[in-house]
Amino acid sequence: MNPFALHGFAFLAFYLMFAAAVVVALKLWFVHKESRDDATRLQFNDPYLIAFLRGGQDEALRVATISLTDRGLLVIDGDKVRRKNSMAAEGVQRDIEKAVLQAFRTAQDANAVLADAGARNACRAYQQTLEKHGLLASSETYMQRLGATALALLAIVGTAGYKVQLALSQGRHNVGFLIALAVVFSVFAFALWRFRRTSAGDETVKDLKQLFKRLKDRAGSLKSGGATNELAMLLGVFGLAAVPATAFPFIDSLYPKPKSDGGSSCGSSSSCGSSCGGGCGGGGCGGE
Amino acid sequence: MARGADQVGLGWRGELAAGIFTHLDRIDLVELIADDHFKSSPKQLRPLKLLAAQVPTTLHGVAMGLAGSEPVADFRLLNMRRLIDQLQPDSWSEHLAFVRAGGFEIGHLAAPPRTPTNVAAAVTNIERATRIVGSAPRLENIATLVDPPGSQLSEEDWIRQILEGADAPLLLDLHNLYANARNFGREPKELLLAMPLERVRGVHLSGGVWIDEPAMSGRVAGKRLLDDHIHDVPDDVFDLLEVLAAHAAQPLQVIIERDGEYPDFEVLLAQLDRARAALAKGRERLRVCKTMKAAA
Repeated sequence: MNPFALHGFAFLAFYLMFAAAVVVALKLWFVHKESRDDATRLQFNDPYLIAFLRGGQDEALRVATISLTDRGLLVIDGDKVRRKNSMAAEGVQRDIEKAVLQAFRTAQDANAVLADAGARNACRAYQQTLEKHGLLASSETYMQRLGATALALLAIVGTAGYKVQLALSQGRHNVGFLIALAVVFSVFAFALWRFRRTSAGDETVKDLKQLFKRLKDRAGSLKSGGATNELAMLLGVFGLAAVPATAFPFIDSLYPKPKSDGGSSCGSSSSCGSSCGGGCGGGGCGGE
Repeated sequence: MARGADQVGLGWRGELAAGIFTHLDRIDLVELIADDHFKSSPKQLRPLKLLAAQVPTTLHGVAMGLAGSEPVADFRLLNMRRLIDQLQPDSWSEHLAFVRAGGFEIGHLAAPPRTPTNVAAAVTNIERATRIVGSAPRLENIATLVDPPGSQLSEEDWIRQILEGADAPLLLDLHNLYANARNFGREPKELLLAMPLERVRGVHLSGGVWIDEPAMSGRVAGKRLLDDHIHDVPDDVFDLLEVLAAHAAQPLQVIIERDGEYPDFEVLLAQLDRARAALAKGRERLRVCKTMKAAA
């Protein structure tokens, strides 16, 4: 059967399945190429590294801000956050924590740290480390993805384009839905190419969530004070949504949860916290 | 894989994940309960592989029933082998206990009658386990609230005969030993020194609680020390670790077991430090002893 002989809804149905199959095949190809055989040797003893892997730079900075607040090194002053005192940085070891404390040397909105050059610079090491271990896509990864993505786009756009040309040549102009579908699936394919984590990175995030599942289950009983870093690890692995507001009410005043439950509204915005669920893709919010 | 120095670690429990991950510099190894993962697919085992890539691991079985009179089912041994192949742990261990008989699962680690017949059955089971799994298990002494009726051998003789017969190493649970000694009127240190210490490779430390003993006919109700893993390791058990380190020259892998009522992780870290300190003191005693012997 020649699918190009189909018309109207029949061809749209065929195209929908075809384009979906192409996108799924592209995803499976990436999974095949980027999955790990053995577990990464990278040590996950740093909650900010995990937060960076899961949700990117903004997420790591948010987790650091909350952890430092929990430990009393940052204080909430009205609707602003500021460093407790100039000695606060002496109590921390990680560069990201020092940078966040420096960013809050004067009272600022909690989100101000996300744009602070020093804090962003402190995150660069995480990016490099995760790229080196194949958990985040590097420029090489994007190049490797390019061929398969181009092929997928060619199949998606080429098939639609040929059919549009055929339809127009036969005097039929009802091609709007087909073009729209081609655009949608092209965006999907592009998003897969652009996705910041590799399949190994996705698997690692899932594995960490599995390992820390019971910690999440007892999130409500965690004590504030940060003596054992449990809050930071919980935030690093699961994000802000995993912490009950009753246990750590200050988190909601730092990073209020969105009023609506719409996960798709966060896009790449830096203000969506970790409550954005699974729809945020390649922006700053991560995709788990 | 035996290492050159003593190691101190924790039993892996998901509740302790954050503490373990953030203190890998103070935790030499973690012990995984093997039975929890026997039904896991390779994909489901991936998190454990990630864990095993972070820190050396050892597998601990709880339901083989190696000291039972019945042969251990093949699938149980093959499960362990598959898990070992997947996770590549330093070692694996099981209890010297029976857990089923005549088709009934006890759901508990029970002490069998300590008889020559039982020794022979246990040796057969362990030899078969060694053959199928590919390496000998470290065999753990268990705690019991009841002195096994019909026993003809002391606990230490029973353990020694099994270990020698099967040529297997010992995972010495010092709280189990302590509890048995206290429950049956023996001196813990004396019981420790009667054990085949040259075969000890692993050590378990845990805590327990004194419970009321039900009144039995002809006996006065008393107290029994229950090994429950939800209390801190008592001082006496750390003292036993020091004694062990002073008498067993080989490297020891010490695991602190905690199964519930988790304290702040700082408390567990402090117990790890105490275990290290006890080992160090014991090793120093051993060194002085060896020096004196050499001088003599």
